[in-house]
Amino acid sequence: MTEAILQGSNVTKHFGGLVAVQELDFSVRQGEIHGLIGPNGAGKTTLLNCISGFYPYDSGVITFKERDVSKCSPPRICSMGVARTFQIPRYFPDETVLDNVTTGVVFGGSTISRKNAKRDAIELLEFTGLSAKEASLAKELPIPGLKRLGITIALATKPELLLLDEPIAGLNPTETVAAMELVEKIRSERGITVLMVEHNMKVIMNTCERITVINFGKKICEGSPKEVGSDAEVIKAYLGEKYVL
Amino acid sequence: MLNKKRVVIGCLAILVAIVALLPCYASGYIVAFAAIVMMFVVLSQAWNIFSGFTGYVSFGHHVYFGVGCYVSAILLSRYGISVYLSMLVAAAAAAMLALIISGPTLRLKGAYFSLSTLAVAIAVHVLSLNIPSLTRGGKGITLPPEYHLLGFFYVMLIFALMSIGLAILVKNSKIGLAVSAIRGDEDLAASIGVSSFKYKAFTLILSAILWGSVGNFYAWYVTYMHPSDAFHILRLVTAMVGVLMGGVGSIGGTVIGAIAFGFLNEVLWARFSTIYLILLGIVVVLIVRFAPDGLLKGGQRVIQKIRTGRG
Repeated sequence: MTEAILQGSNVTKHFGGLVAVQELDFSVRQGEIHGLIGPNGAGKTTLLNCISGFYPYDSGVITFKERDVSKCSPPRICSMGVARTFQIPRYFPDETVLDNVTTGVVFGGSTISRKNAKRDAIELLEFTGLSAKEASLAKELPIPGLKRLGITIALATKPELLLLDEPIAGLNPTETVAAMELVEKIRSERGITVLMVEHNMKVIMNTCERITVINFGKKICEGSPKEVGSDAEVIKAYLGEKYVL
Repeated sequence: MLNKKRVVIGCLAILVAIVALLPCYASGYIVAFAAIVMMFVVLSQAWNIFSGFTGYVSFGHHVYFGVGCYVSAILLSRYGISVYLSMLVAAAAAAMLALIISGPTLRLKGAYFSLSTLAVAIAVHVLSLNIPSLTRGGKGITLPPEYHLLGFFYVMLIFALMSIGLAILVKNSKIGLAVSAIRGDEDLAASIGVSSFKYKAFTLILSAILWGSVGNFYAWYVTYMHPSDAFHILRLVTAMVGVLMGGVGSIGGTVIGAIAFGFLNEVLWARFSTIYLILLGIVVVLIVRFAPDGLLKGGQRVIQKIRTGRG
């Protein structure tokens, strides 16, 4: 079995009286595309925020490459090799697409000159298919372009693990296929492990090797798409009890 | 062949020379006015280095000016040391205060940050009134009564050039890239490895050092220091309006904005001394309303509008 690059054990996060993530155990294996799914409000984005250091959690331990990242800040976690995107695309609006990516290259743990950073950024924009837009202001890009820019900025930090928060939300079917091709390319050509939060079940089932399903902050299933698709708890959470065979 | 950059640098050098030689051919009033305008340039540029570059709007920068004023007032009146030596202490005191303030305040965002800085400035102002053993409270401190117009003028000229140089250095460095990212989207910046606190604190301390140093020389120049002058909020407003008039984050714009504000301030004060603050307020509101990104960009927009309207 491939070793786990990311592991969580007993992770719990409260927002006041609300338990967003509850005693959650999970593991993401090196080199896989791992799906994190669950109904609305299940705690998926909260978990992503806990992994990337944006939310301190109340108890439990998250390890990346066997190093405890529980007390690490987002910049520290980034420098360890974990990059993320955001559900609503985030970018530096008044900078060009190229400058957005260059900023990522400069701060992403590597100490290289700005000239070299620009060269790396240009190469990355070619990889993600945004070369034609490199001189445009980021705020002028349409939604698919912004989603792609978010991924490119994250890739600029040279991650080993990429956390994608709903990378295809708001995209049409054609754009969805292109986005998933990019995710597959990131894994196959760059060897980056991907943990992806997504609502589109078809995409998750076709793209991910393994899937973790959570509901009300608790893990209800973890396994291959086939195992998850036939799990009674998952069917109950998504479709209701009467659909359980 | 001369390129454009060289021509600009040449013109600026001539401009600096004309200003530097002002005491040789202009009246004392003009020299004093120019010194105060250059002080506006330093304060505006220093405020721009922190608030303009990071997007964290400080309402409390006058506290560093006041601390600088009091350091020189105390050291010069009690110990008779050189104003240049007291500048080092004033700069260090302002930097130390900025460092202490940065811990709790820089973790706040938006209006919460701005109000916390204002609260600190008010607290230090009140403190200065209530520790008479150090500040002589409401009585104020009289400094050695000597006329330092030329000294103040040249120190302000050096500081104005230095503040512009520092702003250019910061903007073109990795720090500049970091603060620009923080201003653009701080969460995204954090996610790509920018330790935002470090960069915000650095620019705040740099900015405070400039304000504290200028305060040090201001007290030496005016020879009397009182809390209501040292910690006067109008000094902050002056700097903010200079930056707003020039365009937030723009180095050249801030210089032009501060100078324009200096002239406006003087003309309104000279012509309408009783209501000049009201008029100044109206002008500021009009600028913020119609040219929020500065007079230069606002002017360009108006010209473009007129052209397209005609076209």
